[in-house]
Amino acid sequence: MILIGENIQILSRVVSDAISGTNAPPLQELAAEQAKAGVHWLDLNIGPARKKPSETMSWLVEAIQEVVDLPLSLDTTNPVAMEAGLAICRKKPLINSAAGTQESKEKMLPLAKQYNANVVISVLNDAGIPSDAASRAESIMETIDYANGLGIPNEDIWVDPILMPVGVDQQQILEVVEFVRMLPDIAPGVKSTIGLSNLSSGVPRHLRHILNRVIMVVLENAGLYSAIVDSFDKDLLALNAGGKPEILSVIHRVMDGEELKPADLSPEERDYYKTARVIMCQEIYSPSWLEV
Amino acid sequence: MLENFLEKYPGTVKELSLGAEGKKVTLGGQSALPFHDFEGTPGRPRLVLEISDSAPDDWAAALQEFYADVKASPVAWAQKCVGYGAEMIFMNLNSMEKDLPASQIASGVRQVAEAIPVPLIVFGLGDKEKDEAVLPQVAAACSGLGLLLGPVLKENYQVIAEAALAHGHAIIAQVPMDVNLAKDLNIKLSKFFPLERVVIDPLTSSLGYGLEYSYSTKERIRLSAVVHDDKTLQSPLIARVGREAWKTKEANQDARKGILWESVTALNLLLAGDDIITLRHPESLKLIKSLIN
Repeated sequence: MILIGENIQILSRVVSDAISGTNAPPLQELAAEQAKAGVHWLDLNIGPARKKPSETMSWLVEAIQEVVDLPLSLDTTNPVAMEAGLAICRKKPLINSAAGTQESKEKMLPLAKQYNANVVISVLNDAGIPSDAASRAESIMETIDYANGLGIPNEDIWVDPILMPVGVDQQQILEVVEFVRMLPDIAPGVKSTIGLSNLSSGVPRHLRHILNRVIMVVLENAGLYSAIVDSFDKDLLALNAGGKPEILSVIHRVMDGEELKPADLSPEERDYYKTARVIMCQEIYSPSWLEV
Repeated sequence: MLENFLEKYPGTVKELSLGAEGKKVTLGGQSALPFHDFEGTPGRPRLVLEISDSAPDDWAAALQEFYADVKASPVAWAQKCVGYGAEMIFMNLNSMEKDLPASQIASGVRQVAEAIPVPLIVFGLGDKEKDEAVLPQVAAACSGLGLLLGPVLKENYQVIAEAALAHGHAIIAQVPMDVNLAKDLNIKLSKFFPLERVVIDPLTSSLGYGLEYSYSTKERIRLSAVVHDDKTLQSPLIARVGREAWKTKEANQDARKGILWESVTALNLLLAGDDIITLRHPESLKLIKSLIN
């Protein structure tokens, strides 16, 4: 699937210092490294950008475009900052993101039409995040309909089903998978995306990667078009490129409902087996899920 | 014929025997969901009355009045509660709040344990440092008496569980209303402590004050244990209804309300899967017993 590198994001100390100090080189280096790692898009997350939104976004987009040629995903909740970035993107950009809330429909969505940009539309609406596949479908259909009405075609829409952290609502994972599977039927031509890291939010840091990798494989199988990922997770990128076929096989067999014998698996396969069982809700999640 | 419509579940709640020789009470062992006795080996919930190891100043007025003659004497109080039909006694160590020496608290516990014909459940403050200092001493002083000791938290489980193990007691593993955390604490305990000697306390909220959350968590734990055969969650469950029900404003308005509040909370939680229900008023015990038997 298409990979969007998430590493230029405001919560990182390096990034936030460089942005507030208008110090381009560390950010340019980060962009170049991500491109080298093999991602297809770069996400630029400047957060709510309350101070000097236009200047911050334009400065950042220019700095990044100086050194890489990849298309950009602009990640901010601030429509003013968003607009400033869209205006100067060299390649057709991605608005990350709009939603089904009244405010987003009024302020964010119209920018997609105005600047002929791709737009991530999440299932979020004014009632919150829908709890199952059917309510996600209902929410997204309404927003897509609205977007079409503004002149935004399905091909430019990337649907985001929103994944809750595994410790908050494990059962939602299956709802998200089911929803992704039904997308081509309910909204032909739309693309899709998801922030993998959201699933592993709250999980012990050193264990986050394996959860992100397995959910990526599972969602790819369901037909997900793209994902927002850690560009430097080599195993994730390898899995995405079809490398590690033994691991892919383990995950697919768990998806098919097969029970494997842990003793027959290598230690690495065993970890992916246990993780796949948690992702597919065959095992209740606990932070020690790999130790059982 | 009817068997064709019954579910056969793969999981069983582990059986746990509490109390000293001659005074044993068993928990768990069920392979069916609460009150679905037709589907497997049934559960047998235990109704328990609460006392304190020193006269409590934070119990509702109606209870203070009811137990006026015994509340300053834990042995007499415990015996009176056995008389009311309590299947076990649950003792709150509220003297820990007064920072009495641990050895004194521990010998007090032993006195009560020896004076009653039923098992004793001993409960600290939920203060991770204080409990860590006192509960192991209680465990040692009551060696061989088969107590159920708690609470054991993720911050202090190592020390308390080791002492419980050394002296033949069972433990109450307490987590904040979350099935994932309950599973995690049990996994950590299982490294050195037999899970058959663990009771899970995922916290209890009373009617009107969050009962639903408590219910959902307990229901999930029990479903995983019985329906999904999750070996890390096959522990009996405890609901400390007494304290929760009697701190509500309704219970403090009058005794009748308190009894109803306590009983309704308890009945709901029995449906969720609780195996031990602690109560503060014997009228509640009587009421619940008449409904579930």
